[in-house]
Amino acid sequence: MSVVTTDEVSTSAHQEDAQVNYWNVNYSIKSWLLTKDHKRIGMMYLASIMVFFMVGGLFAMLFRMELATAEGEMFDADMYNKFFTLHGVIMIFFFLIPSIPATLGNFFLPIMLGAKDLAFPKINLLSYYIYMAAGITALLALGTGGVDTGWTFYAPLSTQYANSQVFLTALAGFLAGFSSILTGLNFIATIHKMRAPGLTWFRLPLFVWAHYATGLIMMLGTPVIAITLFLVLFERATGIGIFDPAMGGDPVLFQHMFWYYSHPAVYIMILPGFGVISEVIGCFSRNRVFGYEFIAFSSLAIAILGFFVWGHHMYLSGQSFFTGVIFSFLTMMVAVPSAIKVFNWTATLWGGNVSFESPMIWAFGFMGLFLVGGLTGIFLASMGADVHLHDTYFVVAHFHYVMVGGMVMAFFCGVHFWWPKMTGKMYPEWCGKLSALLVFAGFNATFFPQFILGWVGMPRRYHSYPEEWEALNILSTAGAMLLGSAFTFTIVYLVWSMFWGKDAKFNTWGARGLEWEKCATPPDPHNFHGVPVVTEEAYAYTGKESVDV
Amino acid sequence: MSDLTMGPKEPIVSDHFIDREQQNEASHIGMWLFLAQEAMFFGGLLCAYFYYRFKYPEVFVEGSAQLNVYMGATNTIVLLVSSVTMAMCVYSTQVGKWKQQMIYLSSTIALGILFLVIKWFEYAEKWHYGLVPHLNWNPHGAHSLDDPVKGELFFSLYFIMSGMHAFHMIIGFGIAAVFWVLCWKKKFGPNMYLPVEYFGFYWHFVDIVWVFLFPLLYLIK
Amino acid sequence: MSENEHADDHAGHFIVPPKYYIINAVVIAILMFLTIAASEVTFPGGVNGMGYLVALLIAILKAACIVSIFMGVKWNTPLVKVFAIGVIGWLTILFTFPMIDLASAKWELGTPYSDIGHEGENALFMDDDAVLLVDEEPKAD
Repeated sequence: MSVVTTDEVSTSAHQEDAQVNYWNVNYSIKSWLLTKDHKRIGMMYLASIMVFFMVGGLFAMLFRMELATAEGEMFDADMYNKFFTLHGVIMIFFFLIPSIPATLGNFFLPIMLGAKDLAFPKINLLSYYIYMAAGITALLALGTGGVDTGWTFYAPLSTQYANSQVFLTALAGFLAGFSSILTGLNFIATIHKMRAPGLTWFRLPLFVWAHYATGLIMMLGTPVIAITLFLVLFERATGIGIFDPAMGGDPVLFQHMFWYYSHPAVYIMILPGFGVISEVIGCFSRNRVFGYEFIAFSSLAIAILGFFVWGHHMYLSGQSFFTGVIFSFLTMMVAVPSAIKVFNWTATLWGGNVSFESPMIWAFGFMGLFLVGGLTGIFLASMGADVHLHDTYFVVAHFHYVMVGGMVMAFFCGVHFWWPKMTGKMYPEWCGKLSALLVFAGFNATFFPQFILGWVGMPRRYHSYPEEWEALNILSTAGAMLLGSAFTFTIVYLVWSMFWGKDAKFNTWGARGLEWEKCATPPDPHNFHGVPVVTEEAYAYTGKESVDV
Repeated sequence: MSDLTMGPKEPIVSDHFIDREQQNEASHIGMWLFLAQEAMFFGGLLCAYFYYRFKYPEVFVEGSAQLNVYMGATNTIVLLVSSVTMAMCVYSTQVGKWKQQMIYLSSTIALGILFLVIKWFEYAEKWHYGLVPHLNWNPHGAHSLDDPVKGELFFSLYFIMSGMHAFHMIIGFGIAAVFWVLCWKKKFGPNMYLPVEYFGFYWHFVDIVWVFLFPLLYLIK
Repeated sequence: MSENEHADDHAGHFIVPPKYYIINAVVIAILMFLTIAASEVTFPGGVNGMGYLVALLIAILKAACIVSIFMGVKWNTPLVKVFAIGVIGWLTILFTFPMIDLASAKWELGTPYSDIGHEGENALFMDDDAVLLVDEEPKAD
């Protein structure tokens, strides 16, 4: 969209070197630790999230090595249980849920809205510190013996029978939830009240719509997991609880309360990715995103409908058949908005001037992998199929396709897309493309065999299995090693580029949008000089923009 | 008429906002979003309550009969009056009447303490009769229940729900103490009353939770 | 103390006249006594019948009074009203489905996928042979 500023647009926006930006405005540690600048907070989150990603990934490597052989040779069952639990807890609460919102969302939401910061900068900083406190608590739990209940903390195992660090881990999850709530609160207030003049709802980038929908889920769902984890904590600490079957307590109630959040949580873990993909596909097709309103409303539809489907995690847990039927029907419905998005992105490519820079390779990877993940979800939505597939590797493969093949690829897609804008440095293009391809290959090698394994009945959360499945497991482990190496490679060259990469041009990808056209590279501490006024629709690509790597 | 030394002379607008109106509207929405998520938090407990009441109706009737309706009703009135004094405190800040503001805020705090004191006596009574789950559960004591096993479930729910509410009262009391000091120092006035108003919202929210807890716990017949 | 009907501060924010607060408090107190009285009446439906509904409705009414007058939503923008009502909707989702689960637990609809409570009655569940995954003899462990 083209913009006109009320005040003078400083032409220093086009000089990269001598200007003051949010990195060099103040070098002291205190200016980082007590910053209220959403950009700095976003970068601090990025660093922390990458650390947790590596820790969670390490656990995955460990138990994949165990699974390479049919016998449980490397660790005993308890240790294995701890590894998959910690992998789940860390990846979900400390990597995926904050991933795009806390890094790219924090960074770019105010800029895309033409604002100087989020509505509540101090709350943003508080959110980061709560996240770090939660993370340290989780690491403490890890270091003092770990937890073996599964990331799902089902009662009464978690409340009464487990003798691992349930309290600390549940506390870590509880705190991470509050970090998430505060982020969502900030986003919703900012999007409602801090849009620049002329920036109506339907001129917003789809990234913003995605984060609005994500914020809604964070606000409405996370408190329920907070109270559920609180009940676990309270029972561990005092013995007073409401899930003990011996006194009439009902474990199924725990599951209802748990999944009421944890299902919408998976939409927190994909909607921001959808936002990134909309931006990247629009940019590299040089085309307006097809069906803008449909994508915008489908984000809201997913956020809303996503609250009605949690029982599909509980078909075999003892909920009534009738309830299962209702949830099955609603789950089929929730697939529709996601499908609408995929159709629209495909239509955006059609008639566009498509080019294959590294963010676009990541985006194509996303499209393929998310498609598989989403479609396999439909198998699981059907109660009849789920009877056989529940708690097998089919489920594991499904959610890894959507979470890793979907969200993680979208996360790296966004990081690669906005990296030059955020850091003022550029990574080598060949690295960006190679890592996308390596991740794609490694991912499929890891998780496609798991669909087959699940189909033939291999259960999840077991450290040993019948020999006839060993071949596929070896393939999966080999793929995991490749995947782990590819991710490590990605992080290495990104960090390398911050110090030794070449300086980025003003608009590396020739993209449109307030952050690309009216904001310096890297941005000024106050984002803009003056208040931008928006006069055109989003994605006003003419097809003739060019890349300036 | 209004005390001109109360609060800042001019409204203070943070520099990331365009103007005071944007700041006020954003902060208002922010406070409501916070309360919305608090409502969902308590909602989880209510979900458990509705579930178990549906499952074990007689247990809930019997458990509820052990609770002291008079103390509960008194607490309801105490909180109601404290809501009025809190609202009046906000009003006093808005029109710039310092002495009134301090009196109303002090009354609110005093009533909050009264609530907690009555609650303390209630809990002490439960302890005395051996009705505290796990820690002191003695269902064959003075108040023997028809179904002591499931009765423990009801009382677990009772203590967790009313305890969570009391915990929020204690937090409210802590924040109120901070506000008391700030109001004493005349930090808030007609040009800066929104913090007091938002604290008032929190206080009213805690009142609303009690409004639901009282009939649901004490009046099951 | 002079109180205008539409007292405004400098930003145009409406200041609620105190008499609204007093009247509201009286209304809520009356509702409280009403709910205590209602609990003494024996309504049809037992513990979870009409009396339950009446108690909940009165509580909702009291909450509405607090929200609209004490918290000022009566004079707020539509957005805040949407948020307040939206939360009620979301709470309803949370309450409804587990209750549906409990209420429908004993219904028997179509082909069951477990035989809990009816062991030995359905041929579908009475197969002693282990299911072989591949065409081999079962290995002795």
